[in-house]
Amino acid sequence: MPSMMELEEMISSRFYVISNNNAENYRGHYAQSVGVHSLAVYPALQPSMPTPSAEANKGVSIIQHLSPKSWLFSRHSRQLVNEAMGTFRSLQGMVEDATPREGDDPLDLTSALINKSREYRSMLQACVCSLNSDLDKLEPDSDEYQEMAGQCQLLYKMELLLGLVEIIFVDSRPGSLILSQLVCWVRLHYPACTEQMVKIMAEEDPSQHNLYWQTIYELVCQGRMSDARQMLQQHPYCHTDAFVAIEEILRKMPTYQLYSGVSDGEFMLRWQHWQAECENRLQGGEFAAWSHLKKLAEIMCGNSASILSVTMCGEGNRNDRGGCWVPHLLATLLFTQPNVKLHRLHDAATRAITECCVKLSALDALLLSAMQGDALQVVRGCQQTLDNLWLGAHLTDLLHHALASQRHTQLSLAAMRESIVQDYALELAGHPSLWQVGIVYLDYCGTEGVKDASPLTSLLLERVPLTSDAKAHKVINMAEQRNLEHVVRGVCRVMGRRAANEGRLAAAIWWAVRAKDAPFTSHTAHQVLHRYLTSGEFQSSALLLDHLGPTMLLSETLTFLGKYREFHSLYNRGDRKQAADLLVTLISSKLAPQYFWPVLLLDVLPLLQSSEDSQDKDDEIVVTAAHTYELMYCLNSVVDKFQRDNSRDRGSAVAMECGLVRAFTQREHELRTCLAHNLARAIVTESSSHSVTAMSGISAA
Amino acid sequence: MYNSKVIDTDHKDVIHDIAFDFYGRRMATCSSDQLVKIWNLDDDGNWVLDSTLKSPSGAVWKVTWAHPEFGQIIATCSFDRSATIYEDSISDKGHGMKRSWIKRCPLVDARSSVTDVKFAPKSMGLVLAVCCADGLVRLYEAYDIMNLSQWATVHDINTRLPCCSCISWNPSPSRFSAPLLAVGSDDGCLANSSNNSSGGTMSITNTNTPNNASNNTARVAIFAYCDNGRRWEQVETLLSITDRVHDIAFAPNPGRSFHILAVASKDLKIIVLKPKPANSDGSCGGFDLAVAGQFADHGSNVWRVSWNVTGTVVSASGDNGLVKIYKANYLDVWKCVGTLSSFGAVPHSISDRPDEEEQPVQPQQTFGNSAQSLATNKSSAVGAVAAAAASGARYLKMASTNNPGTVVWH
Repeated sequence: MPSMMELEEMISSRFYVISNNNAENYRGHYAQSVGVHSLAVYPALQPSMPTPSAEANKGVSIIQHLSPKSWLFSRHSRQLVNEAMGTFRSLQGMVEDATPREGDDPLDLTSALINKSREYRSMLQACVCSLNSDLDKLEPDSDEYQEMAGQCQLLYKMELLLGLVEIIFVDSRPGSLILSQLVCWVRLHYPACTEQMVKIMAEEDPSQHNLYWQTIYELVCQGRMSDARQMLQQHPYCHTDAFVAIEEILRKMPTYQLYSGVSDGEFMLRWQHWQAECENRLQGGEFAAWSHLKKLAEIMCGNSASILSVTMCGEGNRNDRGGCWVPHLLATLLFTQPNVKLHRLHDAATRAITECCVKLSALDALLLSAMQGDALQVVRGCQQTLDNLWLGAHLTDLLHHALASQRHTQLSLAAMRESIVQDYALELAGHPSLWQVGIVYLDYCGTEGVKDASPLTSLLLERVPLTSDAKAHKVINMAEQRNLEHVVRGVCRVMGRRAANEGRLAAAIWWAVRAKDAPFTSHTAHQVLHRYLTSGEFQSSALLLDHLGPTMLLSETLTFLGKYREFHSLYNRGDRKQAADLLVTLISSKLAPQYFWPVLLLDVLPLLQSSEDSQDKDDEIVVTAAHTYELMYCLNSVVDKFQRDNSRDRGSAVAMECGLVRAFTQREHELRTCLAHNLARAIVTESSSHSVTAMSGISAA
Repeated sequence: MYNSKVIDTDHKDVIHDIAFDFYGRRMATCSSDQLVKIWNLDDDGNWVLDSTLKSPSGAVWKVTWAHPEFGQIIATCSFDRSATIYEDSISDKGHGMKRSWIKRCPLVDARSSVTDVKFAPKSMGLVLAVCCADGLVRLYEAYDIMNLSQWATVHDINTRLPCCSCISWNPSPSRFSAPLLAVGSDDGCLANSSNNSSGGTMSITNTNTPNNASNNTARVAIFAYCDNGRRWEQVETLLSITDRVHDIAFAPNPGRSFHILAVASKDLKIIVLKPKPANSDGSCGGFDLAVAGQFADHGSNVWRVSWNVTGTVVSASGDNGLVKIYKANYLDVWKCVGTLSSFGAVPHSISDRPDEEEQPVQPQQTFGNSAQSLATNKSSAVGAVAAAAASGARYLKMASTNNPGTVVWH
C-alpha cells in the first residue's frame, strides 16, 4: 500500500504518460479535445522521420480516448458530491439573504458558516465510513482495495484540513486562545488511544496489558485526564502514595474555558501553579519507585523528550494519517504553552515538525499554511495537491464568506472563489452522469448572482448528449429554469430532426412545433400527408393532431393537417354539414397542397352519396351549390394535371398509382355523377328555401 | 489523472485527423489509406465501428461534423482536390429500416489539394468552408437542408496567402459581432502537390521543403462578413506571425465581448481579438490584437491546437512529442496545467531508477532532432513518476497525473 505521502506526490505531479509501445516510429501524439476535459490522442508522424515501412506502421492506428479520472467519480463519492451540492446551495441562499439591504447591518453569518462547515465534514466522514465498510469485503491485495484505501486516507486528511480551517478562519473566538478548540480537533481525528483504552479496560486485569502504560501516556497527551485516571484506578497498587499523588495532579490540571469567567492571565497563573506543584513532586522523588509514573509526571512538566517518546511510538499516530506531528504539537502546547495564541501557532507547529523529524507532505504543508493564517495559500495548495476540486471549491467558498463577513475584504479571494467554483463545476459537467450538479454550481459562479445563468451553462447544456427523450426533457427543463430559450429550441430541433430521420413523424412534428421551426414543421407535415396518401391513415400522428390547438398555426401545411384531421373527427361524429363546409373551405382557401386534392375529393364522395340517400328529408343539403361548383373546379384541375403529367413523364404516372390516388382515378367517374346530382338537388332546394325566405320577408313587411 | 481507452482503428496508414460530433458520442477518423471511419460510443463507453467510407482517390486530410440540427453529416477533404459531404440517413426501401452513410455531394471546384474543411456555426445555416492550397477559401451552402445533394458556392474568398493550411470559424457569433473566419497558411503543399499522385502524407510534403517564402509574409488573415457589401472582407492580418501556421482555432465564446484565437506555428500563440467600434459607413471596424499567451515549449513546431467545448482549456501538440494543456487562471494569465508524454520509445527498466526529485519535467527548450535526446527526456520524466510509484503498473497510471481542470501555481 502506498503511503499517504506517495499518494499525494502522485497526485500533485501533473504528468501523464501515454503508453503506446507499438508506435515506436511515431514521435508523439496529436490531441483532439472532446467535451470538457477529455482528450483523444493519436500517433503523429513527425515530418523529420522517413516514410515508415508497412512493418513500422504497426500501432499507427491506435487512438486513445483519455477521460479524467478521479476519486470524485467513484461509486462511493456520489453521495458526497450530491449532498455537498445541497449544502453549497443552501449556504449561497443564506449568504444572499444576509446581504445587507440599505442601511441594515450585515447579519452575522459565523454560526451558519460553522454549521455548513460541519455538514461538509460529516459528509466526508460518512464517505470514509462507507469506504471502510466496503474495504472489509475486499481482498487486501487487490488493486481496488488499494485504490479505495488511498481514497480513504485522502478523504480523512481533507476532513482534518477542513476542521483546522474551521477553527482558524471560520469559528474564530475572541481572545484568540485556541487550545481548547485544537484539543477537540485532535481528539476527534486521533481516536486510537480511546479505542485502545476501551479494549484494555475490557480485559480481566487491565494493568497486565502490554499497552496499558502507553495508552495512559497517550490519553494524557490528548488532555483526557479523567480517562487516564480511570485507567490508573485499575492498577493493583492504585492506593499507594505515588498513585494517589499522580491522580491528584491529573485531577487538578486547570483547563481554559472561554466563558467560565476566568481571565486569560488568571488561568495562566493557576496553570503555572499546578505545573510547579507537579515539578516539586517529581523533584521530591515521589515517583522514584515507579518509572511509569515518573514518566507521566515528566510529560505533565512539559519535558519534550518524554512527550516525543510517547507521540512518536503512539499506536494511533504511527500510521500515516497525517503524520505524528499533530498530536505532538498538541501535547507540547498542552504542557508548555496552554495560552497559545493564533499567531504563535505556526511557530509551535514548525518546532513540532522539526522535533518529529518528519518529511512534510503536501497536505501537511496545507495544514501549516492554515496555521499561518494564509487563506490564499490554503486555497492554492488545495488546487495544486488534490486531483479534483471538491475540497478546493467548498473550502474557498467557505473562506470567502467567512473572511468577507469579518470585513477583511479580499478581492483576490473573491476572484479565486469564482474561478475555482467554475472549474469544479466544469469538472463535474464533463462527467456523463454528474453534469446536472455541475450546472447547479455554475449558477453561483457569476458575479451577478443567481439571476443570470453563467454563460458557460448554455455551452454545456446544449452539448449534453440527448440519448433519450427523457434526457432531452431534462435538458429542456434545466434550460427553461435558466431562461435559455435558444438552448431549448436547439434541443427540440435536434430531437425533431432525429425523429424524422427515424420515421417517427408524429414525434418529429411535436418537437418541431416546440422548436417553433416553421420550415421543418412544413417538411414533416408534408411527409405525414404523403404517408397518408399511401396508407390512408394517420397512424400515430392522429392523437397529436387532435391536440395541436393554436400551435398548428406555425406552418400552413400543419394547419391544413390539423384541420383535415378535424374534418375526420367531425365526419366520424356524424356532423356532416360542418364536415363538408370545412372540407370545401380547405380546398378553396388553397390551404391544401394540390397533390392532396384527390384525397379530399374522395372524402367528399360519401358526403354527397349520403345526401342522396336521405332524399326524403329535403332540407338536408350537405354540400351547397356554391361549394359544389368549387369541388367541380377542383376535380377538373386535378384531372387536367394528371393528364399533363402522364403525357410529359411516364415515371410520375407510376408514382401516382399508389394508394389513394389510384382509388381516385378509379372512382373519378362516380365522383362526377355524384357532384352533378348534388348540384341539381342543391339548386332546387336552395332556390325553394330562398323563395320561402323571400316570401316570409315580404309577408313580414 | 486519466482513464485511457484504447481504440484500434485498423487504419493502414497515418491518421491525419479525428473529429467528434457535437455531443462527443460519434467520432470520425481519416487517414492516408483513403478511408474515413465512423465510430459510435456505446452505452458501456466503448467505441464501436459504425461504417467505413472510401474516398475515391488520395489521402483524406481532414474530417468535420455538421451540427446535429442538420442531421448526421460529415465533410471530408482530400488530396484529390475535392471535398465530400456524407450523410447518415435511413431509408425504408427494401426490408425494414436501413441506416447507411450516403455520399451526398462532391465539391470539386478546387484546383489543388484541399487542406481543410469546417462547417459554419449553426446560426448561419448549413454552410461549409473549404480551403485549398492555392489560397482560395470557398463557402458552400445547402439551400434546402432537406436535400443535401445540392450545394452552391456562395462566396469565394481570395486570401492572398501563399498556401492556406487551416481555417477556423468563430464558433459562437452573436448579434453584436459579424461572422468571422480565420485562415492560416504554411507553404510547401503547393510545391509538392503535383509530385505525389497516390496521396502521400501531408506532413512529409509540407515540411521537407525549405522555408522558401519570404519570412515577412503574414500567415494569418481574419475575414469578416460585411452586411453592407454582402461579402467577406479581410479585416485583420496578424503581422506578428510570419512562420508557417499549422493549425488555428477560435475558442468557443461563452458570451465574452472579445474573441480568442489559438495559432499553432513555431510556438503556440493565444491571441485576444477585441472588436473596435464599427466604422461610420457600417463596415467592420477591425480588431485590437493582443497576445495573451505565447508558449515555445513544444520543440520547433506546434502541429495541432484544440479547444474544449467551453473554451477554457486548449491543448497543443508539438514536435517534441508532448501534448500540453493550457488554461487561464483567475487573473486571465494562460499557463500550462498538464503535460502528456509519449511512452513509446522508452525502455521498461525505468522502475529501477533511484528516486529522483519528483517534478513535472520541463520540455527541452532547444529541440534536438535525435531520438536519443528525446528518449532521455522521456525516461527521466517517466522515471521520476515511476519512482514515486515503485509498486507497479497501476500506480504508474495513477502517477501519470494530469488534471486540466486545475490551475497549477508555480
